[in-house]
Amino acid sequence: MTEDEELRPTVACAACRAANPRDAGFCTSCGAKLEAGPPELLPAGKRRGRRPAGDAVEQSRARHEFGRIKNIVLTVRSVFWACAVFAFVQALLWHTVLAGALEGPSARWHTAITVLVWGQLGLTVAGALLVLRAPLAWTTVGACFWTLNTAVALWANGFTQPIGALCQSFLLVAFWFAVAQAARVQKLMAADPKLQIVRQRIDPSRRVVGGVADEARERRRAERHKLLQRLGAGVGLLVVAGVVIFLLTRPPGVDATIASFTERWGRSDVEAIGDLFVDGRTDRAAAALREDVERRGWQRALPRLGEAKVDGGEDAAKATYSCGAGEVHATFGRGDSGWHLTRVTVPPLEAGDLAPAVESFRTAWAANGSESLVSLWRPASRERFGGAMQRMLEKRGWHEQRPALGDVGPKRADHGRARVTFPLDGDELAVTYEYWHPQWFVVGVALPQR
Amino acid sequence: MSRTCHSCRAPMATEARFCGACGAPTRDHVRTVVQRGQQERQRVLRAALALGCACTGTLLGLLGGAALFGFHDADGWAVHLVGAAAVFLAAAGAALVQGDFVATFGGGTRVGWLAAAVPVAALSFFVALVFVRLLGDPGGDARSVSGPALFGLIVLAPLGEEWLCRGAAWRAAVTLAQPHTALLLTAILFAFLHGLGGGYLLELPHRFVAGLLFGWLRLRSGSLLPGIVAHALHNTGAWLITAT
Repeated sequence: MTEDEELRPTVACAACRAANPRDAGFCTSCGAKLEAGPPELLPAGKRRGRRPAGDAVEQSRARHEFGRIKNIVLTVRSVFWACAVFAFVQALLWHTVLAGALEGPSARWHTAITVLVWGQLGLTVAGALLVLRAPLAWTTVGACFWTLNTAVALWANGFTQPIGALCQSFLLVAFWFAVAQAARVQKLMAADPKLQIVRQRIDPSRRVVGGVADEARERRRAERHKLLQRLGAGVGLLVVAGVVIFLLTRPPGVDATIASFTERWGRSDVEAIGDLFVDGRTDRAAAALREDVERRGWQRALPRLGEAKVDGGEDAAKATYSCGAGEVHATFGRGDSGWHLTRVTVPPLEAGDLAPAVESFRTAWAANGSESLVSLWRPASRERFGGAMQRMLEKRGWHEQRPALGDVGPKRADHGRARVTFPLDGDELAVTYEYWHPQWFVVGVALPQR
Repeated sequence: MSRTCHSCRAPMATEARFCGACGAPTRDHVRTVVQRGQQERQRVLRAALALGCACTGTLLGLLGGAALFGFHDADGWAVHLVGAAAVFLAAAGAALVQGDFVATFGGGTRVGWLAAAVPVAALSFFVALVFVRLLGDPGGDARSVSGPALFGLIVLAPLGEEWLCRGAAWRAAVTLAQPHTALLLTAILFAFLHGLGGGYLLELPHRFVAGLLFGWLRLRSGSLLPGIVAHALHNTGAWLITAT
């Protein structure tokens, strides 16, 4: 040290009393700003109250750490409140349902359990109220509670519920980690009186209108207002989105499905009507409807329907339409995805006279070759069944000349289907007809068994 | 030899931790503070985990022993040995987690504190008796206690539980908080460790009071011995009143 440095006048720091060079603006020991003049002449207000422990760096680190970990204590408080609600429900259950069920030797535990239930509620409420003032003690109480809970649950259930056991164990470790953080919070609060989780009340006599406290309050209020606005906007958006999604995805009611059916019938779109059948049965039901329409000759235009008379319950409904002299019945059922068509019944088929068709068969049978017989089949199935019939005739040697048919035997016709039998060589030949507008077609021939 | 401030380049004394001109801390000082903070956080975390280890280990050990041998075999060696082993293991685990095994035993004590253990034991026993009577325990269920059970009650339990609560857990709690808070914490732990015998949470209040009293002995005497003596006397009183 040089002689100049030794003789240089010094100034004491008001915070740590360390000696500093006269020209220093900050204390070289603790970093505090040096006031002009000796510390004993400083204004009284500057030295009032307890100073935070440590130098500027330590205080800064402490504030930073406190801001980071104080949320853990707030979380523990939330846990206490949740437990308090649970304990309150338990107490209610105890007094309304469970206490009355105690009988025999168990009845002597009534008082003890009542004390226990309300004690648990009192403890959790006290924890929720006091954990911010004494974080370590109350977090430890919570950790002990949870430890006991976990131990009893593990003992009672073993590891039969591994997910639950793992979750409880995880929370147990988290609780004891929270104890460590609560201890740090408490130490930091003890070291620096400014660090408080609980908001400090300002002495009204020392309150300065428009001062720092008011500014902070205004700032907090503005932030809260902003947060509430954002929350409100978010909730509003969610509600609107929810309503829109509900309306868009809401399964239509039976009226909508009936209206859709009527509209599709009105534009004679059989394929579109087929889409109204429930999945899995669509092809079969739609094919049946298509066949009904084709056999009646309604391909170009479906007959006009009258007003629908709806007769329905919760899971099924039936719409009845007048259709010419008859009625069309559409049956609907409710599934997971909404209402769907289950069945369509059209008026009975009005078939023409069968006699010309029978006579045509007799003529074709008597003719040479089998082409005339095959031509009696419906064009759509002529290739498939005509070939089979030709093979059957060849088997019997009837492909050129066939034995004569007797007079027409019994005829049975029903819903556009008919079966006619002809006596043939001591046996009988059965021919099945179907009416496909505008004429009868052969759909099956049963030759005698020989 | 002087240095310069890394922020304003002003000359600084070698031993200075802050720049006198701009108030910026030196990098060495910041590093020292950060390291000190980390060490402190580690110490606190180890202490909290030691507390958790003490609490969880004991409860699981006691419940495991009871599940293995059944609660009804209360007079047998097996249950007492398993219970004592659980307590000792938990205490040892907690001591090891803190990294200073021997320190958990505390120091020696004066004879006066051993004498003070007698009235403390009497007080804790009185509180327990009143509480049990209030709970409606008939108290007339006289039964003979076997030798192993007696040994477990009067020797093993005071040794193990006091080492656990007023030894390992006490040291951890003192690391976490002030001694008076440690007294409260270890009393809570002591109460919860006894939450199994008389039913879920029913034994908390009077065990908590006993924990406070034994902890007061530990706080004032700085040793485990007075607490062990008081605990043993308390248990002896409980055995005598049960036997008669």
